[in-house]
Amino acid sequence: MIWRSSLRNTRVENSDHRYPRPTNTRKDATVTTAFALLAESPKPPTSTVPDFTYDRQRQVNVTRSGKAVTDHAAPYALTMTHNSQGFKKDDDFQTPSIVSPMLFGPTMTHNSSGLKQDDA
Amino acid sequence: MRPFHPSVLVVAAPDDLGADLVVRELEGHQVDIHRVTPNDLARPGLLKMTGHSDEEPLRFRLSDEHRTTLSSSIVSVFWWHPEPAEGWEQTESRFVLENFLHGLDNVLWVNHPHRALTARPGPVQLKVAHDLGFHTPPAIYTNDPDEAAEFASEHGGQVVCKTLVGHPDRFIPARIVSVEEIRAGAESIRLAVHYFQRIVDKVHDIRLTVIGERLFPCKITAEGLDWRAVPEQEQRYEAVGISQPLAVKVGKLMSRLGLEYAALDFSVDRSGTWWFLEANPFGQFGFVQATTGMAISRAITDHLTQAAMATRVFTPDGGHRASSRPRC
Repeated sequence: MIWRSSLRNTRVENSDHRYPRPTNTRKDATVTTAFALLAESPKPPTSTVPDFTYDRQRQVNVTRSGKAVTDHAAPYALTMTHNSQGFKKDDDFQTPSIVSPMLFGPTMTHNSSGLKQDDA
Repeated sequence: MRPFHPSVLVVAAPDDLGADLVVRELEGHQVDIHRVTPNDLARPGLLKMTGHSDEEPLRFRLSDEHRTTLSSSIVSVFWWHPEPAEGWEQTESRFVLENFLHGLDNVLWVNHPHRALTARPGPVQLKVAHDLGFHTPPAIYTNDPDEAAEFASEHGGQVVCKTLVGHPDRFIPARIVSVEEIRAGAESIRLAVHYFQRIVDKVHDIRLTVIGERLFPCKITAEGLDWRAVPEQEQRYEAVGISQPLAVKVGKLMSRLGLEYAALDFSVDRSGTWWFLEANPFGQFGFVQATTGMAISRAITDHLTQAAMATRVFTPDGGHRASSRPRC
């Protein structure tokens, strides 16, 4: 069982990685980054939506006058497409990743911090 | 004791105006509405939850300052961009709630997050669409710059480069890149799998919002490749029609993907052909409704209520069950 032995050695010695560890490249300003072919979009124009707060009783957001924000739909299109940071909402896909990043730790039972993966 | 009313559970971030649109429409229906953000479960006093897993059917109760919802009253769940969980407490609490929700029988989800996850845009979705007869631009996914450059050469020397997963805190639109740029960026391409696709010589785009069997096609005219990167005031939105054959294909696609709702993106070329780009299970509809007047939130609401309750019967003493179940 060379395979298991290799894993155990990896766990104990923590030095027998088959793949090079990622290096901290942040110190080097000239280093290449992924997706350099792409560019960040400028932020959208400032939204015209007045300040609003979430009304827990009515379960909608209301302006200071107490009116529901969405009762004035047309002027507020920007906020319906962008999140509070001004980025398009289609992209904030709030679902868990199928592949746990812990799966590829030094062993199949422990993650890189030495914790049991069942608990991850 | 007050009989149970059918309840629609809205799971969304508090500041989400798309959810607001749906809640406002739901107010006109004979249902109870309970809007929650799962993170409130870990904010003392805001949202209380107690659930049971024992010899009785799985059940739980959610309550806040203004309302209480029993799991047995829930007929549909509108799962719409809830806040991401932060920290162990929120993650654990959200997991428990989600698990109870996933255990509900005969509940209509718009959309079930697990189905949405597997249906999200990507090579599989594109292939499914192609197999159903949609026109789909060929695509390649690679971290090999030579493969990418060859693909671009085969398709006129320029291709679209885009990502399937959004950057966590900024918007990165699709961009046209040339063979030369690909070769110059070889080192960068080796750092991650990149998505390249043949360019559609488009005259405009279509955002097709689908809920149930209702379709809301919106023509979007904007300069540039990715209309999402164009300021709204420089775009034109117009409600348009959709051909019956294409509508049938859309229905089949939704069925294959297991989705009740999606926002489909098409590019339309000079011949009028609709090229399928992707289907977003949680794509936004508010801007389409605001700019065209199409009543999408009303259609979502109808689906969450009428479609969800169509198979149910209500007992004289309150409560409901799916009519397909034996009476007892």
